[in-house]
Amino acid sequence: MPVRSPNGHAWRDYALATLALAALTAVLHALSGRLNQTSIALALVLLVILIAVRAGRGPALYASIVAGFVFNFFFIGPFYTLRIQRTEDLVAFVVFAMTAILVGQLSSRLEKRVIQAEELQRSEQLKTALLDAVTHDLRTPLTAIKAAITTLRSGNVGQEVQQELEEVIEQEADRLNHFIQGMMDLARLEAGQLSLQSRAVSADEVVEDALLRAGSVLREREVETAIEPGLPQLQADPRLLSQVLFTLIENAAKYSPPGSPIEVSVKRSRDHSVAFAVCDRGRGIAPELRDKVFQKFFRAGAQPGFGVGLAIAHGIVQAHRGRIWIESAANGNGTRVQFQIPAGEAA
Amino acid sequence: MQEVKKILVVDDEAQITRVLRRGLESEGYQVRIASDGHSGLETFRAWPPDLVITDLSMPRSDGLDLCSRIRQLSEVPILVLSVRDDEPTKVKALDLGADDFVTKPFGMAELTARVRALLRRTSPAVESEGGLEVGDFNIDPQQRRVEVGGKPVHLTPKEFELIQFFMANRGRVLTHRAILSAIWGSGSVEQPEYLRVFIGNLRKKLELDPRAPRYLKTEPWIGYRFDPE
Repeated sequence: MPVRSPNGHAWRDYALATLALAALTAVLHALSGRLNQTSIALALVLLVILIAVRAGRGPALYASIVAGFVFNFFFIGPFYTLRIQRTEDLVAFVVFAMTAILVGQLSSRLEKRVIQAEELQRSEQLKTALLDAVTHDLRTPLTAIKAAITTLRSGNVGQEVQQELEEVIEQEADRLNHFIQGMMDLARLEAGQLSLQSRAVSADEVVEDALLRAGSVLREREVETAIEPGLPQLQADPRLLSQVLFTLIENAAKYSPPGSPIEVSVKRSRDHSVAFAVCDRGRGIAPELRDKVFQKFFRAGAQPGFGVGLAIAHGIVQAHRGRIWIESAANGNGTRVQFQIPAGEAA
Repeated sequence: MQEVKKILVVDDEAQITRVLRRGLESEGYQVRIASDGHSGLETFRAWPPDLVITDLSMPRSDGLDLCSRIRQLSEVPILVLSVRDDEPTKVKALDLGADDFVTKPFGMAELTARVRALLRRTSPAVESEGGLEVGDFNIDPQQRRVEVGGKPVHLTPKEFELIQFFMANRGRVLTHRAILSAIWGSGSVEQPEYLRVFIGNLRKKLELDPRAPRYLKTEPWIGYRFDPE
């Protein structure tokens, strides 16, 4: 079975192997007056190794058999027949055929091992990143909750402070719950099992819900909202859509200076879609990183935590047949993240 | 009247700083908040605190950076908060000038106890006629004499140097590296087993129960903390 190529492209590996063999045979044939049999055999074996490494076991076996015929037909006398007269030629042919098959099979197996080892290493790195991220994102709310409760239990806080600390406990418990929800969403997205609970929903509803959830993150941050009037209704999962917008608002708050405003806008866009945008006055994201931030566990800068918010957002938007991307803010100062969702049929 | 102590709290997690502010204020401290190392340093310059509590991982300028920058300016005690229990980061923070650490999540009582211990260290020791007196310890550098709870203890010259170093840094977490380089020079910093032997001997002489030390505590994988009270 080919290692690198998906099954659909297997025929291409065989075709390429055939072409490469034909080309090499032509060159060797042209030079045959100046080369001895051993050099020709070695050149053919070398090609079989290359094919084994590039395309895997199947094409390697095929190439070694074809190379055997080529060797016999063109380079073992009597030429241009598949007959072999002299005993030493027969020995040379058998040795060549066995070497080509063995070396081809061993090389492809080795290549497969290397790929497996690389995959294992990647999955180990992913596990470490996951563990670090989960550690941070679970412990941070737990820290606030534990510190708040132990302060309350010390008994020397006034009514007002008591209320504030209780509020923190409630908000952080919600945050833990959202985190777990996010993990579940991610697991479902990866398994292709995220089912949309779609219904007709207005952009106002989505924005309102996202801002409500962002309350504890935003605190006194100013959010300017601009929703174009008369937008078509969306046929979408309201919880997931507001989750996407919430993630963008949370990131905007995290990656821009405290006190700087955040803008949320929704407007009609081409192709009968609705475009949501969140704009901040932070340092912005370098153009070469703008696609990477949608990958799991990727984080811009040394920001700690679970770098999956945007990966989840990306998955949710895709599940709605929309798209999400990043631009520089209008004045070149800050980040603007946009996503487009096709409007529902009813509109 | 005792003056109100000022504490600067640096952490990027708004909910944590919110709770810390209330918790510390209810213990009678005056509190200012900064959300990253950079603005932490600005506040530090504009409003010199008696103690700094800082998180280690923050966007922009982080806690390690803040520790070393503050150390260039002042000797104010620094308490580090960290969500990671990875020892290398803590050791790095301590070697850069932090005095103690608390691992998140923590209880407020634990945090305020550490704060009190660090603030106590900066309050001057009582100079009695017989030398330096702190808690149960009385150390006389001239006579090279040590008393614990009024009873004289005989120490070797190296042990005396060690207890003097601990006394000067009471309440702080001292890394193996910091102790070794202070007492035996920078060439010995890779030999913590050397130190373990000396600490063992010192505990036999100073502690009531050397296996459950009261004064000379071990911080696993990191170093030691001396508390004479």
